[in-house]
Amino acid sequence: MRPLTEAETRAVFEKLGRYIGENIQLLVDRPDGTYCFRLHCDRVYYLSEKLLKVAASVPRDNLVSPGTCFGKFTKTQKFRLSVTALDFLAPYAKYKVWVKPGSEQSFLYGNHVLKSGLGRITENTAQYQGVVVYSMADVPLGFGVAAKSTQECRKVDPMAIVVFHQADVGEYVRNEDTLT
Amino acid sequence: MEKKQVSKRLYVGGLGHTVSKAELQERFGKFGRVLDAEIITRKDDQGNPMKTFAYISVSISDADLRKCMSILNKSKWKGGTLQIELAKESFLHRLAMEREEVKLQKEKPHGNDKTCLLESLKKAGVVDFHMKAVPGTEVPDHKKWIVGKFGRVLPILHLRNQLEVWLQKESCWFNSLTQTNIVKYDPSKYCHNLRKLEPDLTHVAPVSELTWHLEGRDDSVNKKRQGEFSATKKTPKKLKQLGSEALNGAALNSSGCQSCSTNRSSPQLDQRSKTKPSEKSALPPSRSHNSKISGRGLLSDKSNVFGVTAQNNTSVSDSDIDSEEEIRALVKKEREIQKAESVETESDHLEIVGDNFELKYNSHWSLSNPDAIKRAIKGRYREKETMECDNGYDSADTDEIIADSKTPDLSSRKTAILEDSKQRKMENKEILTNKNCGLVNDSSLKTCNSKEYIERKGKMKKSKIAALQSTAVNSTTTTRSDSESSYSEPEKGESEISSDYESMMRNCYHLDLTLDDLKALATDSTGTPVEGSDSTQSSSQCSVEENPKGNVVNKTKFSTFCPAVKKKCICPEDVLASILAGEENADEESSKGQNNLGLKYQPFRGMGSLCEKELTKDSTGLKKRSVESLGLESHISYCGEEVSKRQSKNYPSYSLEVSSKKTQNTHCDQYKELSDAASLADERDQPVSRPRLQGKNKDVSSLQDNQNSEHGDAAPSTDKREDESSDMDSNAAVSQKRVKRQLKSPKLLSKKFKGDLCLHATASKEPSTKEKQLQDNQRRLAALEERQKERELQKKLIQGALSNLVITLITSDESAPKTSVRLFESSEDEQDDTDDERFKIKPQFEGKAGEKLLKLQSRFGTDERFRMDARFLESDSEEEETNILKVGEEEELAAEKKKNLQILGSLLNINLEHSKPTKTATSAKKFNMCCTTILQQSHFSKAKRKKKREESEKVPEVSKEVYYDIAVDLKELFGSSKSKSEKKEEIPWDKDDADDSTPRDNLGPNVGSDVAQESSGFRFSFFGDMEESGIKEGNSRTFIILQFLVSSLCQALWSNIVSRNSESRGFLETKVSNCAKSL
Repeated sequence: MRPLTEAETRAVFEKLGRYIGENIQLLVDRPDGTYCFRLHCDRVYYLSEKLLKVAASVPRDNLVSPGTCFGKFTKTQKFRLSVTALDFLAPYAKYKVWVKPGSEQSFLYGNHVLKSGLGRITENTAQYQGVVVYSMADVPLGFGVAAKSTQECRKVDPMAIVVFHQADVGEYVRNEDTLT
Repeated sequence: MEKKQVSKRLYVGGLGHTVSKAELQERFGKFGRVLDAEIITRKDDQGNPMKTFAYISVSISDADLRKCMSILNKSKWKGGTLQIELAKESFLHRLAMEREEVKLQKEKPHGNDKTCLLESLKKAGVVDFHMKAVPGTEVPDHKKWIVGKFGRVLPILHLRNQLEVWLQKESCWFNSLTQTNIVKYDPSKYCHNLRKLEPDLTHVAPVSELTWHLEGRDDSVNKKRQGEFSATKKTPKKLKQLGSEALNGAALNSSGCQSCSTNRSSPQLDQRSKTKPSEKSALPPSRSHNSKISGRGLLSDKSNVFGVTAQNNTSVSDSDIDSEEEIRALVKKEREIQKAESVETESDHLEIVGDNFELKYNSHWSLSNPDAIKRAIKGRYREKETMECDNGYDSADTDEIIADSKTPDLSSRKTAILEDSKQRKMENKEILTNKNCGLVNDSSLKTCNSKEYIERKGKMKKSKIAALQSTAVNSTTTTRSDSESSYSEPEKGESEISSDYESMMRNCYHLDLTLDDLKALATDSTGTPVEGSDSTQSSSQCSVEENPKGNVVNKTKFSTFCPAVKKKCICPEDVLASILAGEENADEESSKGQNNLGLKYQPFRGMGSLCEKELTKDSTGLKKRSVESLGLESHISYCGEEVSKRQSKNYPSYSLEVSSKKTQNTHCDQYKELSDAASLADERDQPVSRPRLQGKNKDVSSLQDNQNSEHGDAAPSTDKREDESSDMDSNAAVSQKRVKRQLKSPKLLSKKFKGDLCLHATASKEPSTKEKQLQDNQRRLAALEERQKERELQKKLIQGALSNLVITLITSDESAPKTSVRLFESSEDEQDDTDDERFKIKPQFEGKAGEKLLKLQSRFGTDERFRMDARFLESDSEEEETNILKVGEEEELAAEKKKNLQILGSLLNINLEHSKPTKTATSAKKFNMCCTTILQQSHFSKAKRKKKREESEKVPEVSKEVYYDIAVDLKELFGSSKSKSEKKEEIPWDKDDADDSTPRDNLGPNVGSDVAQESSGFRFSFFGDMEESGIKEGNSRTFIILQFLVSSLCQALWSNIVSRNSESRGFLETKVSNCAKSL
C-alpha cells in the first residue's frame, strides 16, 4: 500500500474527472476528515486517515481491501474505474442518465443503454461524457459513457446505443470474486 | 307409394349405337313420364361410335325408380348392357332453379315493402324522394314521411338516446333529447342544419390523400415511414393542429369520416408527446375508434383517458360513411404504425433535465444539504412574515410569525426562551388575576406562539411541546447569562402588543439591562438547582408547568423589582421631590413608596448603571411603571408559596426584593427594620462598609463574610414570612402598607442616612430572632463555605498583585500600573462581597492549566462575556500535545493532499484555492478567538476608561490593602469587639458627615456609597451609550466620595492606631500618605 505517484494520481483524477468534474476536490479535501488515495495491488483505494492507520498494520499479503476500491490500473497503466466507486461518483455526478424500468435489467446485465430505454438525461451532455446511470427511482445503477450527445439522443433511432456500459451494480453479483 | 313423382335425371350408359330417343322414352316411359332424353355418342377418330350414353330426365317415384333400376340395370338391350345411375342435375336446370330461388327470396322481403312504398309515394307525388312542397308538410297518406329542406322527403324518426351520432350533426337540439329514452325526431324542424353534400361526395378523396397535405415533418423517422404508410405518417404533425382544435372544443363535424379518423389519431399522438397525467382529464375527442386504437401498446392508458366524445361519433355514424371499410383499414394501419412508432413516440417522452436536477434520495453525506434546509426554513420564515401582514391575533401561527419577525437577530433559542418566559408570565397573570381579557388573550396567544416557535426553532424536533418547553426552560437557566443582553429587545417588541403588557415588558426590559449583574449572580447561584428542577420537569408535565412558573415568577419579580430599582437609581432628589409633591392619590403614593424603597435599597444593589438610564426617562412614566409594577407584585405575591420559596432560595436578587418588601411592611411597623435593611445595604456595599470596618484583613474577611451572609440570609427569611403574609393579603393590603410606608418614607429617608450607620448591630440581630432562624443558619453556613472558597480563589488572584503592592507600600514607591492592577483586583473583591456566588472555585482554575487560564482571563478583566472556558485552555494544550505527536503524519497527509489538489488543478485548469476546512474544530476555535479578541479590544477601550475612574478611586482601595496588611494584628488585639470598633468608627463618620455633607447637597454618605458602588457596578452592566454619561458623573461623584472616604479613613485609622496600636502607626502613616498622594 503506497500513495499514488503523480502520474497515477493524474490518471485517476482524469478518469474521475470525466464523471464528477471538479467535484474531485470534494473527495480530496473533505470537510469531515482527511481522506486519501492509496495504491494496493494495482488497485486504487480511497480511505480515511483513520482507516489508513489501521490498515497500515496489516501485512500486504493479507490485506485484501483497505477502504473503497475506486478502480485498478491495467498492465498498461491505464486506470479503470470499478463499480465500487459508484458510491462516490453518484452523489457528485454532473451528467446523469436515467433508464426506464424496462431496460434497467438489461443494463444491469452489462448491456449498453439503448435509446428506447432512455428515460431521462441531463441536458448538455456531450458525446463520450462520463455519465452515471440511474433508475427512474433515482437509484444509481452504474456508470458509462454517453455514446450520443443529448441533442443527438432526441433524434436517434430507438435501437441506437445511447450510453456505453462501463460498470453496473450487477457486477457485485457477476464479478463477486474479483471485486474488492 | 308411387304417388310422389320427383323429376330425376338418370344416366343410362351402355346403349347401343342405334338406340334412338323415342326408344329410350318408350322404354323408360313404363316407369314414369320421361321429360327429356339426351343421347350422347362418343366417337373415335374415324367417326366410329365408341360409346353411347344418355341422360334422361324422368319424373318418377322412388319405388318406380328402384323398380326401373332393378329391371333395366344390366339388361341387354340392342347389343349393349344398360347401366343406369342417378345423375347430377343438369347445370341449366340448376341454374334455373337457383335463379328462381334467388328471385323468390329477393322478391319476398324487398320487393314488396320498398316497391310498395315507392309505389305509394309515387302515388302521393313523390319522385325519387323529392317532392315540391313547403318543408314540414307531411306527405299525404304517409304519416311517417315529411318534406324537409330542399324538398327532400325524409322519415320521421324515433330515436333512442344513444343515437347521438345522428344528432351530433344537427347539433344543438340534441342535448335536450338525451333525457328520454325514445325521442321523436322530426327532420323538418331541424332542416336548417342540413346541407346538400352530393357535390362533395363526388370528389371524395381517400383518407390517405386527405392526410397528405398535412405533412410537414422532415424527420428521418417520418421519411422512413412515409414509404410504407404514407397516409399515417403525417399524423403526428397533423395532430398538433387538429389536436389543438380538438382541445379547444372546436367541432369538425361534416368534414367526413376520413378527416375525422386522422383527427382521431392525431390528438392521441399529441397527447402522447406531451402526456401529463394532469392534462388527461381535459382531453379532447376520441370516439369509438379511439377506444379501439387506444388499445395499443404504451399509449393505451393515455388514449383511453380521452374518452368518447360525441363529435367523433357523428363522423363515424355519418351517412357519408360508405368508406367504413376504408376506415377500418386505416385504423389497422395506424395501429401497426403506432406500435412501430411507440418507441419513437416515446422518444418524445425523453426527459432532459438540467444540472440542478435533484435526486430523490439524499443518503449521501455530501447530499444532505444544510443550505437546503436553511432555505426551507427561510421560506417558512417568509411565509410567516407574509402571513404576519394579514395577521389577526386569532391564529397561533400569526403570533409565531410575529415572534419571528420581531426577533430575527437574536439567536432562536434565546428568543424562544424569552417567549416562553413571557408566556409563562402571562400565564401567571392569567391564573392569578383575570383582570384583562386582553391580557389573557395575549398570554394565550403567546403560549401558542412560543410553543410553535420553540417547536420549530428550538431544535427542529417534533417531540412534544411540553418537552420542548422544558428544554427551553433548561436553556434559559443555562444560557440566561448569555441571553440577557438580547433579552431586552424581543421583550420590547412584544411590549407593543398590549398596553398593559407593554408597560410590564418595558419594565422587564429595563430590568434586564440594569440587572445584568443580578442575573449573572442568579445564574451562578441558581444554575444547578434550577437545572435539577428542570430535569425533573421534563419527566413530568405538571412539574414542568410549575417550575417554569417559578422561573417566570422570578423573572416577574425581577421586573417588579426593576421599577423600584429604577426609582431608587434615579436621582434621589427627583424621587424625593416627586414624593413630596404628589401625595394625593393612593396609587401615586404607593408608587412613591416604592420609589422610597428604591432609595433605600439603592445601596444594596449598587445599580449605578441604572441611574443613567433612568435619567433619560420622565418621572411620570416612571410613576406609571411603578404603579404597574405594584400590580405585578401583587400578582406575584398571589403566586403559591412554593414558588416564592424556591425563588428565595434560588435568587439572591429575589431575596433582595423580598427584603424590600419586608422593609416596606416593617417600616410601617418598625422604624428599626428599615435601618436593618440599611445595614444590609451598607454591608453589601463594601466601599462604604470598608472604611468603617477598618480592621479587616483577609483572614478577618471571613468574619465580614459571615456578617454579610447573615444579613443576606436574614432577608430571605423575612422574605418568606412576607410571602406568606402577602399570600394571605390581597393586593390592596400590600398597597395599603406601601401607602403607609410612603407616608413615613420622607422622614425615613432623612433618618435613614444616619440610621444606616447607627443601627448595624441591631439590624443584624433582628432578623436572627425570627422564626426561621435555623434555616437561615443553615443557609448561612453554606454561604460561608462558599465564601471561604471564594476567598481562597481571590487570594490566589490577588496575591501577586498584593505582594507587589505591599512591597511598594513599604518602599513607598508607587507606580501607576501596579496600583491600577491592584485596584483591578480589589474591585473584584468588591464584587465578591456583593455577589456571593460569583466566584465559586472553578475547576478550570486549578493546577497549571488553571494558571494559564487565569492569566488569559485576567487579561479580559472580570467581564462576564469573556469568562474563559476550559475549552480555551484545552485547545491550547491539546494542540501542543497533538501537534508534537502527529505532526509527522498529518504533514505527510497534508502534503499529499496539497499535491493532489495541485494535480487536480492542473487537470481541470482551475485554481483550487487551498480551502482547508479539514480542521473545522480548530478553525472554529480560532474563530471564537477572533471574536473574543475583537470584543476584547472594544472592551479594552472601556477598560481604559474604567482605569481612569479607578485611579481616582484608588484611595479606598489602598485603604483596603491596609486592612490586609495590618488587620491581623488589629484583630488579634481587639478580639471580637466589633461593636466597639464600629462605634468608634461611627463617631468619625458622623463628624465627617457633618463636615462633608455640606458640600454634597445633603445627600449624605448614602449617595456617596451609591456612587462608589456605581462605579463598580458599571463594570458589568455598562454598554457604550450609557457609559460616557456614567463616567462623567461617576468621576465627579467618585472624586467627592473618595475625598470623603479618605478623610474618614484617615481619621478612623488615626483614632484606632493612636489609641491601641502604636506599633503599626508608622506603617499606616505611610499608607495614608500614599492615599493622599494618589488623591
